[in-house]
Order: sequence, then structure tokens, then C-alpha cells
Amino acid sequence: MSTTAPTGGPTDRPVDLSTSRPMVEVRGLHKMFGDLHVLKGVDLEVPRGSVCVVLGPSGSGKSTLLRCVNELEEITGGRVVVDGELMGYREVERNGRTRLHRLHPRVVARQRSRIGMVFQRFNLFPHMTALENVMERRCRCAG
Amino acid sequence: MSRPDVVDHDPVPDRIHAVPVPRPGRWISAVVLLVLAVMAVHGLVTNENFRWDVVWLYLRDVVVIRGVGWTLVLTFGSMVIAIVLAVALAVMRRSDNPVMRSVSWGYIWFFRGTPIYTQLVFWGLLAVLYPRLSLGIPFGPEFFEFRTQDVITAFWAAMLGLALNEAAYLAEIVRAGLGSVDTGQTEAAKALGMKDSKILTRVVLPQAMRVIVPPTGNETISMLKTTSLVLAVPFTLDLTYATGAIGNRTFLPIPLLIVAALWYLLITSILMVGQHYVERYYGRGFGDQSAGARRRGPGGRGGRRKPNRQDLIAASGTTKDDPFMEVTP
Repeated sequence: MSTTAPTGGPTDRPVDLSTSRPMVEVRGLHKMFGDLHVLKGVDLEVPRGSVCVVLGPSGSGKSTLLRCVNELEEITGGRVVVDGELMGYREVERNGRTRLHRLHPRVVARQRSRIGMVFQRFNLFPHMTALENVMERRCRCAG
Repeated sequence: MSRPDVVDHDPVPDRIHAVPVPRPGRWISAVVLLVLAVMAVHGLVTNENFRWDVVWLYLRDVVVIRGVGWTLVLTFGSMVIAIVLAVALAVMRRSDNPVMRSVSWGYIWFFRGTPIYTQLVFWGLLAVLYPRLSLGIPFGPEFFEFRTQDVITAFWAAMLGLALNEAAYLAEIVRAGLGSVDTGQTEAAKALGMKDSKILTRVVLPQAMRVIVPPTGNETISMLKTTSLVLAVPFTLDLTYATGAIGNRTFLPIPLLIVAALWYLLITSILMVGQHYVERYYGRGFGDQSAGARRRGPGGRGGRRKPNRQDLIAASGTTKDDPFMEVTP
């Protein structure tokens, strides 16, 4: 694990294209639903500006992996770092031991607002117009 | 371009003008029902015992009209309090916090489980049971003190009694409504980075309203009649008590009951119209009534209503009728 583990920094900064830091970094990701071990130590690095395809049979955990990146699922083990920022947790060093503290839902919401996501079943808001659906993030969530 | 009504010859050369299947059963049943209905109305109107002259006289009586006013105030006041309370109870019921969940459960259990009449009697007796109310630190010093009968008057006892009872029923309706919204909607809102409170007020509740509104309209109409129970408090200005009092004084109870019934009918009819419009508003985006309205387009049916934004977008012709058709497998 890298020594310069990122902590919950400012989230409203624009995406920095000049660095070579990977956009999405997943390290040793485990996800269990009860006794069902879905993701068993997934490592993934998506370089900045690249297009990445996750391919696999049904039920192999593709969606779960994506949902973990977006913190829609609470991960069981490992780290998810997006644009240098640890998702969902804050690393606190005390007595030479690193412990993870869960981030406040408000901060998690701000982290999520920087990640776009299209769902398998789209989940458009049916009570809004198409335009309102598109505008929703910019107007309501960014601030 | 020629319009269909300008064309004077039939564009279909061999148009079918078929004779419909004879349905004598329909005609017979319709006639029988109509005769029965006319008989019922005739029997009602011509019966001397109903004293329609007295009904007409007291229908416009100032005490009766005032009773209508008080009944309306009780109905809407208690419904507003009940709706606010019900949303809070329903959200508490879905909370992760077990204390919130059980308090909400206990409230609904108690107020649904005891008769409204009994509850109203207790609210009326509040001043006897708790002669004084005070504001202060629990089990500690008190800052303000009131005599209960000064604060909780018969009117407020009636209003609170009705509202707290109704909130328990509405809470279950709201809970069902919140549960009816697909979890994907919450997830999509989360993925956009909305806070929990915003997800509730901006995404989940507006869609839940489609499910919540019809039974709530039903409850409002029911509440209108339930206000007649406030004599249990006793609150004596509402429509039922006012007409009943006149009926007893004049020894004409039947016509005064009819007066009350006619007023309740009139208010219910107005409420039904209102409910129709509220339902149509919250049905938007679900292709029930609003889809029909959209196909007619704004100004269709003689511009019966103001077109909404979605109608205008659809009418501009830049979007497909059903944007979901093409992408949903």
C-alpha cells in the first residue's frame, strides 16, 4: 500500500489533467453480502483519460464493483481511491496505528457528486422532464 | 394542405356502415334501472314527511352556515396537522434508528387501536386529568405554567384529537407511498451526490405522492364526516351539532338531518373535484391521466386547462412522445 495515503481532501476542485495519478484506483477490494463473498480482492487501476471495459458473465460482480467505486455499497475490505481521494473513509493515525473513520454522509454525497454513473435500468426521475433530469446534478447537488 | 372537414367527397370509396349487433338486454336493464331511479327521486321529493320547505329554510340559516364553517376549519386544520405529523412518522418508521422506529410504531399502534370517540372524550377531559401544563426541564425546574383549560379549549381539543388520530392512519399511507418508489431512484439520487434529506424531498416524496394522494383525498372526505363526533369533547359549533340542536328545538329532527346531509354532500363533491386535479398533477411522468392530456396537446378540447411545461415541450415537436420506448429493452 502506498505511503502517501490520501485523506478526505477538498472535493470541489476541478479534475486535474496534468498529473499522471490514476483516475480510479481499487486495491484489494472485498465485498461480502452476508456470507456471500462477491468480490475477493479486486485490484484495478484506471489511468486518467482512458476508457476501461469490465467484462464478465452475469453475476460475476461487475455492477457490484462499480457500485463500490461510487460508495453505493459499503465495501467490506480494501481501498477505493478516486482522483487521489479515498472514498467513504478518512484515515486517522493514532499511536502508530491507522484506523478508518467513516465519512459523514454529507461528505460522501459530495464525493459521489463528482462521479457520473449510468445505471443498468437508467433510473431517470420520471416526475421531471428530460432537461430537468440532465440539469439535476449541476443545479442541486454541486453546491 | 387540405383539412379533413374541407374535403367534400369521402376518401374511403367503400366505407362500411354496418348495423350494430342488437343488444336488447342492455336496453331492458337500462330502462329498468332508470325507472327505479326516477321512482326513488320521486318518492323522496313528494314525501310530505321530509318537510322540504323546512329543509330549504334552514339550508341557508346563519347558524347552519356557521356550522359548515367550523366543520371546514376542523376538517382542514386537522388534516394539515395530520399530514405533517404523518410524514414525520412515516420517515421515522423507515429510519435506521431503532428508537425512532419503535416510537413511530407505538404511536400508530395506540392511535389506530383506540376508538376516535374515546380519544376525543379524553382530549375533552385533559383539563381535568392534567389541570396545569408547564414548560421546563424534564424532571427539573419549570419556567412557564398554564392552566390547561386556558390553552386547550374545546376547539383545540377537538382539532388535536382528530389530527392525532388521523396522523396514525395517514402515516401508514405515506409509508406505503414511500415504499412504492423504486430503490433505484434513491440510488440514482445518491450517485448524483444528493444528501439524504434532499433525496427524500426532491426525488422520493414527489413520486410517492402519486400513491399517497388518492387515499389521502379519501381520508379528507372521511374526516369531513368524522368531525361530527366532536360533540364527544364537547365542541358544539360544528354542522352536525348545530343542525341537531335546531332540530331538537323545533321538534323537526328529520329535515334538519337532511340539511346537514346536503351540506356534507356539497362539500364532498367540491373535495372530489379538487382531488381530481391534485391527482392529475402528481400523476405526471407516469403516463396515466397526464399522458392522455399530452396526446391531446395544449389547447386540445377547447383549451380546458393551462398547458404545463411538459405539454409545451411535447407540443414543440422536438421530442418523441415516449422517450423511454427506444432505450428500454
